[in-house]
Amino acid sequence: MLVSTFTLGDLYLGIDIVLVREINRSMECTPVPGSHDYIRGMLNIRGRVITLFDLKKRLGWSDNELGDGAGIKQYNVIMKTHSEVLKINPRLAETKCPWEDPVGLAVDQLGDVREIVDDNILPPPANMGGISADFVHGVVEFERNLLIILDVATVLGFDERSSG
Amino acid sequence: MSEEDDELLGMFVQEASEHLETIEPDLLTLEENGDGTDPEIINRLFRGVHSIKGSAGFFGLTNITKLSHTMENLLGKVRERTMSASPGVTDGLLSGLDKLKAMIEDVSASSSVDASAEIRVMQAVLDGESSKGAAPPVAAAPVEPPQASVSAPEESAAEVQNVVEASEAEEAEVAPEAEEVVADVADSTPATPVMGDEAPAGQGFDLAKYPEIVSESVIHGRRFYRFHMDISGTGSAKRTRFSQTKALLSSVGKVVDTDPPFAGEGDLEGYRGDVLDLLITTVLEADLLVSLLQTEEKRIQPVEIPENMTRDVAQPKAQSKSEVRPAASEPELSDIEASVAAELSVEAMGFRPRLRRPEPGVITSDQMRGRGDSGGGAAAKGGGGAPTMEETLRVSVSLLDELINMAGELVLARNQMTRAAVEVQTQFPHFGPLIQNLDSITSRIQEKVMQARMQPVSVVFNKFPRIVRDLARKLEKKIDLEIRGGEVDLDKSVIEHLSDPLTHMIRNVADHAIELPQERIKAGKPESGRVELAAYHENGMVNISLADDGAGIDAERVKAKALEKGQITERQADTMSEEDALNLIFAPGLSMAKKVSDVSGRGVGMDVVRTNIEKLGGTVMVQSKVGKGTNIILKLPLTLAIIPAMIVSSGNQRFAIPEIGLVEIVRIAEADRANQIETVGNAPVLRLRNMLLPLVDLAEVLGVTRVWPAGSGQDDRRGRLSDRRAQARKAREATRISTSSNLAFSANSRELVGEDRRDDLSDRRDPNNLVAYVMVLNVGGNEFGMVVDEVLDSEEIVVKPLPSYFKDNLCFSATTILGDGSVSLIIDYAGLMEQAKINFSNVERATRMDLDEERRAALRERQNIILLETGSGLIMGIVHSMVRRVEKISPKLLDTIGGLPYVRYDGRTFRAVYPDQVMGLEGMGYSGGDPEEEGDADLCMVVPNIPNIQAGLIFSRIIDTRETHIDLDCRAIRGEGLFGSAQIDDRVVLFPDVNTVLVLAGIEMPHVQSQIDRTGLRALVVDDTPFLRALTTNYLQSVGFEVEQAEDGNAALAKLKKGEFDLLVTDLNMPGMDGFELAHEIPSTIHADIPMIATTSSISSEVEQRCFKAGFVSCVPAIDKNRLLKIVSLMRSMD
Repeated sequence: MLVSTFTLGDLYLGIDIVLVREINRSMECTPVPGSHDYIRGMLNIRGRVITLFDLKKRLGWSDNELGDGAGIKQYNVIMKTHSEVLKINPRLAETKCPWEDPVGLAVDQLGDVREIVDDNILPPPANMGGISADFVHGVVEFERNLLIILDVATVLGFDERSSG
Repeated sequence: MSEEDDELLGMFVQEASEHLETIEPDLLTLEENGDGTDPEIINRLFRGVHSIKGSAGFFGLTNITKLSHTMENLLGKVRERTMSASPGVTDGLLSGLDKLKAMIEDVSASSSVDASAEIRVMQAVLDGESSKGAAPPVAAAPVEPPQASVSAPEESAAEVQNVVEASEAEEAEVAPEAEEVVADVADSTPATPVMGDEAPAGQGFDLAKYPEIVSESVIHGRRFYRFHMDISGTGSAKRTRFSQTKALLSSVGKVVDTDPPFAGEGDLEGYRGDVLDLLITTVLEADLLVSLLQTEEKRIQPVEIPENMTRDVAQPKAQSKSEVRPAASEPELSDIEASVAAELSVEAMGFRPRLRRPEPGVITSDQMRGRGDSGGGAAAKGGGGAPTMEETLRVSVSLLDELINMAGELVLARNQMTRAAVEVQTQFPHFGPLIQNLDSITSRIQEKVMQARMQPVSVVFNKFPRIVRDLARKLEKKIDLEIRGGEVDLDKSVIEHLSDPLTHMIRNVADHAIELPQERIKAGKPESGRVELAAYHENGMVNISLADDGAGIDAERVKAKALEKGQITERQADTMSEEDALNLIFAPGLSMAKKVSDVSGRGVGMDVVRTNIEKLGGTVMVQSKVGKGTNIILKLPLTLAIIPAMIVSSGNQRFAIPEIGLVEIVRIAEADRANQIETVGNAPVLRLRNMLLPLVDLAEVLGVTRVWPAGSGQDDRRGRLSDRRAQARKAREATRISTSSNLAFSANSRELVGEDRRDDLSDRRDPNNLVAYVMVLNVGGNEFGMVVDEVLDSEEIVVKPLPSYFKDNLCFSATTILGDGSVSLIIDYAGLMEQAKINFSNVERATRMDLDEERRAALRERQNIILLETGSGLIMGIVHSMVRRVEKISPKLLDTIGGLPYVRYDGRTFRAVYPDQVMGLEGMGYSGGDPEEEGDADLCMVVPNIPNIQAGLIFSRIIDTRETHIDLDCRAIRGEGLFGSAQIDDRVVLFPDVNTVLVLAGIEMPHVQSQIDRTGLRALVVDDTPFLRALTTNYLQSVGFEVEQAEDGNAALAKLKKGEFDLLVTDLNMPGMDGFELAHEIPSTIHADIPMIATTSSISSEVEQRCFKAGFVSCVPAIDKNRLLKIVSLMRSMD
């Protein structure tokens, strides 16, 4: 499958490109008082209200690990919704894309689009730093880098069991 | 089931539902009018059921087919007038209809639904009618009555042969062929297997559809039969069977139609059912036909020719299509192919709406045949449809929603564009018109798209006649339901949520409001209760009113009940107004039913109504008079997709507050915080007029970082509101005490907000003049104040749903995108209250009620006033109707003659009066006016509306004219010639008594007041508006009356009982007891002969008539001193 990659601190992460709708430079968003701290707020992208998750906070990074992100211009990876994926790949929509409302993830730097072979995807090692195994679909070794393929549904708070 | 079938089935369900929608009201009409029902309605009923049956058969939905078949039989009898439309018949049909609805709603499960009870009931009605042996009115017709043929004796094949031979003599040209055919069939057709299900009794064909065939048949002595043909087996077997049958019949008659209908034999292969009904016309008797077709006799049933058709044939001259067939919408086709072709596209497949039937005769059967057998043909024929109806298209709701979303985005893009255009225009001057064009197109698109989602409320209303009927039956009452305004459109989303609350309300009305017939007669009312359900537009909202002429709601009983349930305190019960008491019926758990019935009375209902309506952004009002009836009015927004909202800021963030529920906005200057914001227990409250309003700081509840001053980006270190009070007190000590700046205005006066905002910005530069705003919100009858930093704007916002990631957030109901493209959250009041843990204690409730009374009084009469500024900077208000005209005059026209100022204007000389000077108030204004400016700036002269007076009041300028409520304070600022002062917007406005001012200025009034001297007499002035009360009092005092005041009829009566009065002057329009009611009560007091004068703000001949009838001497405009005094003087002379 094709994977859109990006970095988050030292982590090298990837998301199945079929799930990605678009990627924007981060922009101002409207915070939602009373929501989880990992929800940065809401964006308007061409009239669609998009909920933006702060991926670092979602992965539970402490303030230290967050670093002084002030200088870094982040990117928003906007995901497709269930109904959008349904038109392309119904099976994927049912298994990997339960979210109905438009959503985006704030990440640090963008990487390349990588082709990976499904057979090369390994289960996440037990001792990964910076990310809980729950959020990981699998890992692929790439040019001595470990590419972590995100399980977006879990990141967005969907229980994998209930979403099939 | 294949996808295509699914789609077809969906169409079937949709079409069947549409039929059901018309069937129900038609059945109710049938029930009501009985045999007098318009034949067209019965025809429509019949067609509807028939077409459901036909389509259901196509899909092999045997249960639906069976039920609708029975209904159709029953309807057929009614239509033929062989059975009268008795209640038994309509009951049976209605119960059948309910089952049919249930089955069609869940088509896939329809096969497991047991409709046998309904069928049995209807069958019993059918059988009962036949067994009674109701003489068929067609006895004279050449057709055998149905009973006779049903019981045709069994005959052997040999006998059949004989009869056929015997008939040869009569039908010489037909019979020989028939004989051959019979022989053929015997060889070629396999023996028909006996089917599992019994052939339903009765007939499924309506001969009225084939008038030409019928008349031809009647002339030729042919009969009609329904052949219940077994065509089980594969598709090709079906086809073969059908063709063979047709061939068999060709010599002795023909197949007129099939049920379900088919386009061509080819289509039979796709038919799922095992049974096909054929309508056959033939010269043969039933028994002969049985042997000809090699079938069992029970499969052949005669179809009788309706009486009217045979009669028409008997008098061929009188025959006309329209007479025979009032519903000329069925195609008239003369042979099986054409009929089948038409039926395929219009009926069985359900492809097209009914309205596009081909025009009979326009399309020949050949053309039809050439058009194939699918929807393509349907489209091609569309052009020939009935011209009277608008063409419609089915569009999926999701597509519409998408369109609406995009239209919303277009609006936003337009807004951004318009902003950007301001700069661009300086470089490209032609850009402006382009933007304007885009602007107007965008608005139109949005409007139209919103319209597409609108549905008439009749969608909901139409189900009520049935509900009311059922309820009336159950409760043994008589209720007439009248529906008006069904065409009023509402957004689909509103319509969808309207059904439940309305049903609750209707149930309540039927159960509680409408009395039993005998009680109604005793009460002198008609036996049948009248219930009126109406929808109409008002103020951009849709009102739905449900009025009845029933028992009404006894406010006292409601109070007692609420007291008993502990929902109100005794004190509250005492002070509570009737209106508030009535509103208690919406309190949860308060049922007014004396006993619990199975219709209502379990204490759920009216509170659900209110909750649901408020969720829709609407409000509920109830009015009731014991013994007279009740009227419940729902006010609903046209749409939920776009709502008017105030954009406010709190912290650094903007929020949208829906204007519905927003009562007023109170502006609190920092310096006044201490005066107005108090702490009760732990909670800050605002002292607003007489009421303590619980306050919620939006920033605090939401946990938004507060910035102070607004916009500066610095954190507000003062923290909670109550802490800020202390801070405020210090601030107050340090600075001069400015006047309270309590800004109150109704939520819809947008202009004012805009204006105020500008004021604010300048205010903010002065740190001592920091302000906060309290949005006074009403949630379910409870008011609370929400503190925000700034009120920014009022906007029509496009509501977008809140993403599911925030579903556990109480405070927000939805999101929107503001004009600048940023996302904003829409506040949910009820949730916010819950989050802030506000609950309304009884004390607060009681204070609130006191306040409500006061506010109502103040709101009752709005006055149109002109606000003027004097040369010394004072602001004065003059009620519009006191002014004849306002002229702009140049100071050059001012002259001094004999030490007194005059104005030459329009060829006449007016005495100029400076009200501030006359009243000695010059010093009270600020002296900020630029003296030089005064020199040549135009002045403004107000000519009072007093006849024969050549004088004008001189002001420096008109500030504004405004319709507003005056809350006149007669104590704060006193002065001769001054009624009092009031706060309008932010400013203190003085209200001069124009008459006195003129007198003070030494101008003689045209009538000599000394002529009327009423010293020593006592007058009672009744008026609910403090200002007008003071005014009238003042007038009367000026002629010597000793005046007492009362604020409404009840208070007046109390005073009249205690003291002696010589004159009563009362306002007509008052809360509680109005002027007419008061006049009505007067004769029963000791003051039976007291002269009464009515005052009113809106005088008309109708009102005057009523006044004279009620015993008033006269009716005068509320502020017309001269007329009032003139009448008083006339009364003197009458004495």
